[in-house]
Amino acid sequence: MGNADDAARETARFLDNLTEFIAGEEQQLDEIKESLRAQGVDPEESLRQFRQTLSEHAPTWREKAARARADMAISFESQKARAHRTRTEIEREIRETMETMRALGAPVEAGAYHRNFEEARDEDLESLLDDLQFQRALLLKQRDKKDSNG
Amino acid sequence: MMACRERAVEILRGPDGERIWLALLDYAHKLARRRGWRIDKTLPQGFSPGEIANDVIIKVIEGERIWDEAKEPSILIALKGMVRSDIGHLFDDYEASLIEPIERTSPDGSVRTGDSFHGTHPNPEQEFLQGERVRLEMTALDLIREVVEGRSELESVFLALYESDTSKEIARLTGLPIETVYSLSRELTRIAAKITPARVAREARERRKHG
Repeated sequence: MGNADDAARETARFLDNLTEFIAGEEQQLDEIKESLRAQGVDPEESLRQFRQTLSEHAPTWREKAARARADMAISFESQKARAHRTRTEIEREIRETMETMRALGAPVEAGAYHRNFEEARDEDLESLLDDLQFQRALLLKQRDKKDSNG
Repeated sequence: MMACRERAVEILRGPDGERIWLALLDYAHKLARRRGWRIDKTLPQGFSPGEIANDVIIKVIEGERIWDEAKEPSILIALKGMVRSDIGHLFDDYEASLIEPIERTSPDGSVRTGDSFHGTHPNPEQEFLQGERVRLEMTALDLIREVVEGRSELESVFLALYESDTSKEIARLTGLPIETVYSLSRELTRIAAKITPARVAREARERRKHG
């Protein structure tokens, strides 16, 4: 039993020593890269990840500035997208309003119907929508009045 | 005095930073393989050696783990110690999880306690698992021995590894020039890389089959 324990301890110590020896501090960069490749690790990809880790967790002022610029660009793009979405929304609402007005039997102004939305400015579209919604509200009011009078 | 984490960042961003990172990563892989020789696994719980090394770097540069330069001037040695500790915990937890609790109730209603194992001796499960681990480690050692056999310089380094783990000491023990020892270390790296935990386990099974 004693001999078996000694052999086990000796084996473990040998394997520990081997591991520390082959991972010695004296290794040069090229040797380490070769060692990693021998173990199936891509050193260049690992270096890319390392640089990314440093950039994310300990950024330099340049990286911070670059990130702030990138964030601003993203924010600008998202604002543009939001503005675009609002315009699209306005166009959709104009069409819906005109549909409702036609359904109520109102002659929708041809100029408004055929207006090329893409050429109109945002402010023009918004005021057109306001006008149409006002007219629709009037139509709905008239219809309600008619209905209540029988 | 510069804070520990700022000093660590300065070094890791400095001219030797990338070498330090790759050396740490290399160490994590070698250590995971060495511990894996005991249990037929490279790393338990789905971790990779790269994740362990990266996690240590993040914790040091964020100040969650402290590198005290006054106590350990080499940041690489300090980082290696942290990787060793983390990998050690993973394997220790895994090995502990394989052991059945000592106290349990048998189907006949009798209760097994620590006293059933006569003092400090390991219980039968522990003994069995320990025996398996020793068998796997000895198989790994045999596989290395088989490759170095007949190559006199490698053989002498192999024997010196029972005594030491540093190149300088091994050069002194073997009488080989330090440059030769470095070169043999690279050769042993290639040899060890081919001895995966899975290969060791396979070889151990074969040996058991053939008595």
